[in-house]
Amino acid sequence: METKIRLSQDETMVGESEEAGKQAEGSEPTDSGKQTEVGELTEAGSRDGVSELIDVGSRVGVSELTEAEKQSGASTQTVEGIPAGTAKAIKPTRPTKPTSLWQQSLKRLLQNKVATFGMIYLLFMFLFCFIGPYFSPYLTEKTNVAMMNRPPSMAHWLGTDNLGRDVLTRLMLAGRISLTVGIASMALSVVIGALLGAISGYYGGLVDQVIMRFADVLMTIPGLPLLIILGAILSDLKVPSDYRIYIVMLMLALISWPGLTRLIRSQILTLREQEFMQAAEVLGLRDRRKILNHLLPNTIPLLLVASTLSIAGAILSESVLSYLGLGVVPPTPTWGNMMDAANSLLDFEKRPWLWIPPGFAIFSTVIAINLLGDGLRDALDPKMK
Amino acid sequence: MSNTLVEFKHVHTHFDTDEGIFKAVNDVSFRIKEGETVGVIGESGCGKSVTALSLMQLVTAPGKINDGEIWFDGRNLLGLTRDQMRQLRGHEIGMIFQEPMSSLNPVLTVGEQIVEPLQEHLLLTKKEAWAKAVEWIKKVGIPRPEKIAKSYPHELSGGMLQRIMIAIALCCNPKLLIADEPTTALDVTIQAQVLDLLRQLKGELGMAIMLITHDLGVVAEMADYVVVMYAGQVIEEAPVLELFREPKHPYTQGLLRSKPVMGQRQKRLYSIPGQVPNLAQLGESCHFHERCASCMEICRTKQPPLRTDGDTHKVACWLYEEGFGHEQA
Repeated sequence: METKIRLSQDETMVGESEEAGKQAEGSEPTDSGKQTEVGELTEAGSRDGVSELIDVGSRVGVSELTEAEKQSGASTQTVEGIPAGTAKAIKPTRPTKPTSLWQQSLKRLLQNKVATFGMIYLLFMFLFCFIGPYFSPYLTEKTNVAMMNRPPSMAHWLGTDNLGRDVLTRLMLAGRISLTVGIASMALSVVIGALLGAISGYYGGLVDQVIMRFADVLMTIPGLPLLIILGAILSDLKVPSDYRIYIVMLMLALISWPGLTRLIRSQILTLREQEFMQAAEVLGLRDRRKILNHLLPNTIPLLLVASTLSIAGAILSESVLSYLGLGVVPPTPTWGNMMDAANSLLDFEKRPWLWIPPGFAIFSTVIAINLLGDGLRDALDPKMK
Repeated sequence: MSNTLVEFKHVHTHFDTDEGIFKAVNDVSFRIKEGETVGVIGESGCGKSVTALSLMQLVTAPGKINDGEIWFDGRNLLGLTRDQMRQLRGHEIGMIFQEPMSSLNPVLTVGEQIVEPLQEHLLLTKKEAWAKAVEWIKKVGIPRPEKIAKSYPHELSGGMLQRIMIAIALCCNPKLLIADEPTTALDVTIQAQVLDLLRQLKGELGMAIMLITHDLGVVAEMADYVVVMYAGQVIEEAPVLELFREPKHPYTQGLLRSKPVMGQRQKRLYSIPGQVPNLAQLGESCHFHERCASCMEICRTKQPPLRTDGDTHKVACWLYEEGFGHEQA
């Protein structure tokens, strides 16, 4: 970005000196087209990271400009001034390092306003949840009977709950759990899904059959009932509430990997037939190296998009479970079990500050993640231009 | 001259498909000596590449090496285990392909791709391997090797990528380099550069080269010995000068006639009439008889064996068979 701004400044400089020359001659300034050409050429050069291109670009640009100057019959002073100006304009764009694919993708992502909004919102949400609580004076788990069910006020911005705890603080703490559960279960399911998908796609045959049929079986069981059953078993086993978070993560990962495995497997199946994989075969590389170094990096765009979207799914599933009382249980707050307040008719009608904030948090976070995921898909799709 | 490095002995590689058995490589025998460049030529679909893949044992299903032996450096490759074969590939046998653009992994830098076989076969540490990779990039004639090592394949030109491929294939000092149409996808000036590079590296490292091509010019320039294949069989083999001076098989003669000659302008370039027969429907006849100008009665009923004719020249044609042949028409 910086170089771009500097470039345009220099361009305007060029333009100014040019115009000055022309004004002296009394002719019309018509060279704006030539200027943009210089800019485009250098930009194209830097994007490809090939310095030769820039050299060519700059040479063409300079010669054209000076020619144009000669045509408009400017004084020698401006002719001298212009190559100096263009040289300055081109220098900053000469890349010190080739622009990587990631930088290009990031640039494309940032061009997508909606996705950028999603990303900024998520960043805000993370700061809100992970840093926010430190600014709260109500960080203790203590209940306060004197302050039960108070509506929002200056002291408690989002009011207090039925045990006199500050809702805003609990909302932030709950966000920590919900986001952590979402990310951790995503990470786990991505690792399982990508590995199994790569293995079954690469080897095919019996291995493929076993893995994919197992995935199919898992997919035929509806996720929610399965989670409810698992949650009920957990409750029956009286797992301490601290541990439940981890077990919920594991459960969520367990039901979400089959979809990802299918996705990765199909991708690997096409990649495996590519010529560069034959070339890798010819190099006598080990299977492990071929799968981890050659095949999986090619699926990273897909993995990134799928995992982003699966965070949203995991957050939702966790909320549902906790809302039903089968996920993370109080006193550990999550957005889902805070929503539980809406279960009571009295709270639902009279105390909206208890359930609107967590509801909005879930809603907005999931939307933001999905927007970011869509944006990522567009930015990383090589066929998009 | 010197010891035999590779010897194909009656190799049969067949593809068993629904439409019948494709005899892509049908009883092929020839040898490559140490440090020698052998050109394998022939039309598309005559089994050149499958011969090379058979050597590498990378023939994919439904293809299968049904019969024969392939000896490499004193070992029968068909008797090796999967893992032994894997260790041989990239280490003792290097291979480069026709399309450098698609033969490199698009998401890895070229440096990372040279490092891999070095780590795998020479068991170098990452740092040593990287230093060696940079050295190799320099060796194949690319300036600014440190920078190039960190760039991705899409940032380099076809000629540069083919040089990188050569670097990858040769970095473990193989005894044999299989070059499967290494210059077909490149433009002519780059072709010459790549061939020069190959020749120079061969001079330095002394590996043998199995050069698969249909470009007779490339063969004339590079090869010491030429094997001509047709419909999955070797029909003629000879040292390069002899073959070009005195081609014996009518097919080879046709190939040489269909090459444009500089300075001569013909109305129409000669081409061998007809097409390569369907490899699934080969009969007992000489496979070339339908297209051959000097076809005889026996050609339609019986296959000619590959016989030595002269000192070093081998040809499979009834024309040169005692009792049948007459001097060339």
